Amino acid sequence: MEGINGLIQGFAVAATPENLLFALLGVIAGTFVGVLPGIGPALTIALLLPVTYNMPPSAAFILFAGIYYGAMYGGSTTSILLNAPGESGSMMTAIEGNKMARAGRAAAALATAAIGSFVAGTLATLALAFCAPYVVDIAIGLGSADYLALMVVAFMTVGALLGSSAARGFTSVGIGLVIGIIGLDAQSGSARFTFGVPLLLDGIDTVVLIVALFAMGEAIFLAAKMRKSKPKFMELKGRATMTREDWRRSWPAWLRGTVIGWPLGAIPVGGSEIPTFMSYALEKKLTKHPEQFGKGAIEGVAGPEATNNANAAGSLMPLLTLGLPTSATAAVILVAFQQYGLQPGPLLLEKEPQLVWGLVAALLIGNVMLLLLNLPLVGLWAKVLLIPTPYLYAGIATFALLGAYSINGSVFDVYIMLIIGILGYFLRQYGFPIAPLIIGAILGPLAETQLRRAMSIADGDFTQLVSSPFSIVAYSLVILVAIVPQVIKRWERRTAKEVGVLNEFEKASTTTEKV
Amino acid sequence: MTISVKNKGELVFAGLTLATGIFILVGTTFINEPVAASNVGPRFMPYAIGTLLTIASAFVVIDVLRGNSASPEEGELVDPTLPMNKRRVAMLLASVLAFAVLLEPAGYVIACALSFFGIAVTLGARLSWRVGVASIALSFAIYLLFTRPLGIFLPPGVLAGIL
Repeated sequence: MEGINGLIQGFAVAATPENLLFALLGVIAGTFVGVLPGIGPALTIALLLPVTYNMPPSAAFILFAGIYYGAMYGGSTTSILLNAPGESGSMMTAIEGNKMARAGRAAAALATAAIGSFVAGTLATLALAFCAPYVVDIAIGLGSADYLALMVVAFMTVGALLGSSAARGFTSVGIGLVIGIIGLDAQSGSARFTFGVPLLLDGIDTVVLIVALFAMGEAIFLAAKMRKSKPKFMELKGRATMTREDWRRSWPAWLRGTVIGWPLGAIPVGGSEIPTFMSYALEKKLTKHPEQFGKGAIEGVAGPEATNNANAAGSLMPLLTLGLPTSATAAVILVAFQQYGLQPGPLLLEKEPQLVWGLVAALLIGNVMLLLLNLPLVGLWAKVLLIPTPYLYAGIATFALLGAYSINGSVFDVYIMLIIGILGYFLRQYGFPIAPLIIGAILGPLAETQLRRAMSIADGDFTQLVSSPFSIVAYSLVILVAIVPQVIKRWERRTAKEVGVLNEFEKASTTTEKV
Repeated sequence: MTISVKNKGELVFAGLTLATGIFILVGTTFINEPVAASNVGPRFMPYAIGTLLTIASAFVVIDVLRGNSASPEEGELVDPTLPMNKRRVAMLLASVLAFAVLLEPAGYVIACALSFFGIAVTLGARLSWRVGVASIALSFAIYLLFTRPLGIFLPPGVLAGIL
């Protein structure tokens, strides 16, 4: 069992006192920012990239692993106490969880979310460890045409699934791809869309792009449209606990959520919205208390929250084994690998086993730390919401400026960040999703490389791109992706109407992914 | 068909992305293609990308013209239905610009303190000694942390001799 040996090796890497400290720092930083409205794991990792320039890669990735899971725990706290589904995957948690909080059952809602996240995260990470070596075995046999097909699948799914309409999703992917081609074309040496500016020859740095879209875009959005009233959140006294009855109703939901969430994350299709919804619908169907759904049913929190975490762990599979990011967070982790001159993909596990297994082990360790930190201290985390907004966001903007400058030591990048930040504002204001843009910018150049390789092998014959069985399956999937989500979206709306939460659902479904 | 004010902005933005798509298609014809270009030269991807962006944006334009506007991002802190607070946006952009302009001549500590101060006040911090102290403390702390233990260069500027 390659997976078990790998994990043992990974624990040896991750369990040094220094790396355990990095994992702890990561989960604390992740939970802290996860609780903050408007900031998620992708931005946190992007902001912390400059801090890690001179760190060994294993320490940096252990830190990032902690942030990744921590931000998800923090996000569910905000959903339940504030009814603010910061990311589309927390939408269902917010609907049922906030209803529970209003009925005075915040402690139970937070507990089922935290323990469910732990159970699902642990099982899903173990599944990742066991399956990854097999996926790598398959992936090594794939040719350039197959990789290109996978990337087309990724473009199609993130474009079609994220955001309020497919047209807007694809527009975002398109803008991202445009940003990706700016600069010198490495193969031909031709400058593309540099407008004679020498500093643009290197292209637009992806870290600058991410930090600009999220941090700068958010700051401008806040300046332009700040609410006059303060957000109201439910107070929580004491710790998150559950009764025996809550446990009995939660645990099957956690397991079902894991089973739904993980595979849908592990295959390269973007988005946690559909799996969490499927989990919610399933729990509603199986429950013995259907009258509670829409009014605060614990299964409606336990299932989707477990699904969301299992999905996040699953989405590391295409990233680590194929080099294919399917979420904004995965895209930032890919950039982090690139900073160290590493390219995620099937060869990564072979060349850098310590790094990959260390990362997986850190996810498991971080998950335990998060459970221990969150159950007794969840009330304390909620206090983060009391930090005055101006200081908080000025601090985030300061870190964004620092990151933009220090990535290349160039003031030019600060100006680029300002321009892209303004673009980010308009994307937010007009309902264009941001994650597809980032994936377009990062995957575009990689797709071009694969296309060129495939075409030179095929000697210019385009039909070769769709001749392998793998690529035929992938392109069939593309067509499927174009049809199925529309059906599911209709079904989501119908169910939302049934439980009488349509208005909140409509509101939530336009919330672009918190990243 | 009536076009509300909110739709107008959305229409302009979608129109701009459409224009960008067309611009990419036209601009690609000016990309220098070496004679010995391989099967996939430097123009292939830009053509594909320009086509995708043009078609997708055209659908968004049609969608908006039909009156289907996407709801903007809701948030706990922001209300997208409010009119844009132009004064605040201008103050924020000015703070960021000040950072970029001052960074190398004046040094990181001064540029960071001023921009933090500007952004905090823009986002509603009450003008008092607290904001000033926080700005200066933060910029010194970041400078010392990044240049010393983390070993990352930040321009010292006019404080070069002191720091």
